[in-house]
Amino acid sequence: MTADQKEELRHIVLGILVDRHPTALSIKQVFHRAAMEVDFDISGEEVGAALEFQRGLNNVALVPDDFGSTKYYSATSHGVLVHERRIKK
Amino acid sequence: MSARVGKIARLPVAIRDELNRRLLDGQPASKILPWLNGLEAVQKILEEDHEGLRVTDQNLSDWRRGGYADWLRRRENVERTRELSKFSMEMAKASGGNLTEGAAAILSGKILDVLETLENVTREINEMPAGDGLPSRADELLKLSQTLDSLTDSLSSLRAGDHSKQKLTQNQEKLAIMSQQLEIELARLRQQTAKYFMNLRADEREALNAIADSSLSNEDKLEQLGQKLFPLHWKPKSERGL
Repeated sequence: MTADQKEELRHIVLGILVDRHPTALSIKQVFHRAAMEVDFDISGEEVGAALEFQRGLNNVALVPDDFGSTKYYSATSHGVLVHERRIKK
Repeated sequence: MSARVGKIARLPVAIRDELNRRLLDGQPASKILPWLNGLEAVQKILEEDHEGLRVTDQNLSDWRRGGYADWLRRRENVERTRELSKFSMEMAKASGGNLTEGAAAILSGKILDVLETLENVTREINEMPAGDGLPSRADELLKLSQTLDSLTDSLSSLRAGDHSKQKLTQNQEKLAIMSQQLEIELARLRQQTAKYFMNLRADEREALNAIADSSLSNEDKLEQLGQKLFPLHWKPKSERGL
């Protein structure tokens, strides 16, 4: 994946979580939606990496599942603001 | 879904978003194309991938029918999804149980998934010509409703779990209160015993000392001392349940 595509994927995963705030989605659920929005092939690992990148910026939070090891992510309030301000530019 | 490969589809998402907003605002091609072809980022991509050819009227026309139409549909879905998201979150919490925020968010994400898919399948079925592949879609609908059932069961189990947890917490609190009460009673008993000894006459103390110093077994000494100290309330060992 090129640097531009990675950047695009990061924005898209944040957008997906912001649209569904405050629900939490698994990597698989985000991947399913992201695959419909990009024009290049993506993998679950790449979506996971994009989510972790956004988590590092505090735009996304990891939501632990009490009953398993699946990772779920949800947009933080900060992430919602970042996304909305970007759209308004 | 096959990926879009046209000139406009290869542009960065920020430029595509801006283009879509201009189309939504009704800007004509005569305004859009000069703006688009003037962007440095666009020129760079066109040079690399399309031998410097500019974005044309035809490209824009194709985009309107394809990528722009998809974007419009997604925009409408976003609003609907936001409503569904709030609804499913409320559903997850509405049980009156004590779901953690995290558990409610995850469960609502799963419910949202099923609701969105149900909506899409229902819309597709409505758009299908009559009798065209309906049986297989009916299977799909059945599977989705089974998933929704199973999610509802999970919600009920979480509720039951919450209630058991609440009961356990209540029992633990009761136990803590009972322990405190027992401590208070013991303290009172010790105080009263000490007071009792303080008020004993000299001859009564002598009698007790005689029992304690005798050659009787400890068990028998205890029995005799108990009867001496508490003549009205002392119960024999057999009645004490010890």
